[in-house]
Amino acid sequence: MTNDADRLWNKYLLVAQGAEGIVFDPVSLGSASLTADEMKRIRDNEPQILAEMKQLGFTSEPPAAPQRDLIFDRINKLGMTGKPPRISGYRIVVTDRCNMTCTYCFVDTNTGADDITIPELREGLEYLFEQNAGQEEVTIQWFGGEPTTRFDLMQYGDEYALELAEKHGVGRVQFTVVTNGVLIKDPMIEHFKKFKYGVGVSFDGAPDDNKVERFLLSGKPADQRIHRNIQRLIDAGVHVGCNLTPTPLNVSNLPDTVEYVLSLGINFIYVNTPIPISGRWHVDGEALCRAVFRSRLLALSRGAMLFSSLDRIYQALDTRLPKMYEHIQQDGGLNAALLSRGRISILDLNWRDDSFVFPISRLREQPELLAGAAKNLLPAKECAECPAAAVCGGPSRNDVSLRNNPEPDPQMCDFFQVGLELALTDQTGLQ
Amino acid sequence: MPKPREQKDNHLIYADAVGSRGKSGVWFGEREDFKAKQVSVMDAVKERIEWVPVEDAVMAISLDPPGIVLMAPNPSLPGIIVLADGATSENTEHLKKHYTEIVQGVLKDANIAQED
Repeated sequence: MTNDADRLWNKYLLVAQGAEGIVFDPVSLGSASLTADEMKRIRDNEPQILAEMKQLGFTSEPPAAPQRDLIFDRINKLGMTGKPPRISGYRIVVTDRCNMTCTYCFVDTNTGADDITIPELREGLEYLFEQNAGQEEVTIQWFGGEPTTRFDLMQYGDEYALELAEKHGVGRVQFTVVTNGVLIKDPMIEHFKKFKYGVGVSFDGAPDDNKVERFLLSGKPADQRIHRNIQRLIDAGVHVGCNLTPTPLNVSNLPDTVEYVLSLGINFIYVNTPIPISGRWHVDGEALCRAVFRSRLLALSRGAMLFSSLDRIYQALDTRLPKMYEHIQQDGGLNAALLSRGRISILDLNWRDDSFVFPISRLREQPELLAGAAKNLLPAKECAECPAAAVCGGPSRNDVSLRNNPEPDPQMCDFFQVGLELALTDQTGLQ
Repeated sequence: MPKPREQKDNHLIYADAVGSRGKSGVWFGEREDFKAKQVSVMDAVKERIEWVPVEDAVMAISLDPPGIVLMAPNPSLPGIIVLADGATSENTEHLKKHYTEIVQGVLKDANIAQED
C-alpha cells in the first residue's frame, strides 16, 4: 500500500469495486457508494451528480488546507485532547510468574520479582474507585505472568472491588482475566461464575499450531489440558473467549484457526494487535488485515464475534468520529496497569519503560501525568496525507517506546490502509 | 443518487464494534444485556406496527463479497423471501442472485414447483 491511492478531486479516496466505487473523505470519515453510471458521470463532471455529491458533503472545490491540518481542526473542534481525566480500568499485573514460556510474550516472566501484596492491591483499588465515584462502570483485568497462580489475590481483589464499588457508587465492575488456561480449578470456575467473568484464554489454535510458540516450562505442550479446561468453563456457563496472537507462521491460516476455536464452542475471539517487542512488527500488515477481515466475517457467519484493531476502523467509518487515540476508553477514561510496589504504568501494555511508571501517591498529586499516555498524532511525513490518518493517528506511545522510533512501522501503516479499504466495502452493520 | 454509508452509533439498532477497550472478555457478559434489550425493543416495535411472525428465518453472512442476506419463508404466500445487502449495488445484486439460486436449487432438488 502507498499513499498514492486514487484521489477524487485531490481530496477523497476512491476505492474501485468493479465498475462501481466507494468514495471516502479522510477528514469527515464520510463515505458513499457509487454505481457504474454515477462513476462515469463524475468522471464527466456532470452537474447533476456534482450537486448530489455536494449534498452528501463531497465537493469538487480544492482542499481548504492540507489534510493533516483539517484533521487537527476537526479533533480540536470535537474536543479530543487525548488527555484522560481519570483511570477507569486496570490491568492488574498480579505476578510475573508463569507456568508457560511463549516465544512472543511481551512480558518479562519468572524474573523473581515480588508479586503484588494485599496492601498494594488495596491501595491500587482504592485509588481506582475513588476516581470513579458515581461512574457507571470500572473494569478490572487480571494479568501476569499467569494470574491464576495467584488466584488467592484475585479472589481478595474481586471481593474488595465490589465493596469499594458500593462505597463509591460505581454501577458495575467488569471482571476479566487473561490466562493460558492450564491451571483452572473448580473453585476458580465457581468464582468466575459468581463474578460474571469474561475469561480470555490465550492459545494459538489447533494443537499443531499451538505447539509452535507456546509450551509449558517443561517444554511440553499443554493442549489437552487447556481444551479440557475450556470445556469445563463453557459447561459451567462461564463466558470464555480466545486471545489469538498473530505470528508470521499462523497469519496465513488465521481463518482456519478461527474455525478451530469456534469448534470448541468459543464465541468470542480477540486477535491481538502485534506488539513490536523486538523493535518492529513481525507480521505482514496487509496479510494480517486481510486474514482478520475474513476471520471476522467467518465468525459473524457462525453467530460469534471477533474483535481486533479493525474494529477501530469500523467504528470510525460508522460513527464518522476519529479514532486516533486508542488509549482513551469508551467512557473517556484510561486503562492503566496496576503493578507491585504501589506503582501504576499509564500504558497498560508496557511496564518496562520507567518513564510511564509512577507511584500511586504521585498520580494522586499530579493527575495531569495521565496525559503522558497520549501519543503524538500523525508524527511522520507520510501520515500527513495517509487516507487512514483519522482512524489510526500514528503509532501508540507503547509502539514508539518499544521501537525507539517516533515514526510508524510500515506494516502498521499497511494494516490500517488495507483495513480502511476493506471496511469501506463492508457495511453490514453486524458488529 | 450516491448511497452514503449508514451511520451506526446506537447499539440497540446495530451491534456496533467494541471500543478501544475491546480487550478480551469485556463484552462477554454484555452480550446477555444487549440481547435482553433487543427483545424489549422488538416488543415495543411490535406494539407500534402491524406485523406477522416470520418463523424459520435465517441470516447468512457472505465473506466474498461481504454482505448480509436474510432468507425467510413468506408468511402469507408461497415462496421464500431473499433480502440482500452489500456495500455496493453490484455486490447487493450478486448476493441476491447467488442466494436466490441456492433457494431455487433447493426447490428443484425437492421437486417443489416454483410458483409464479
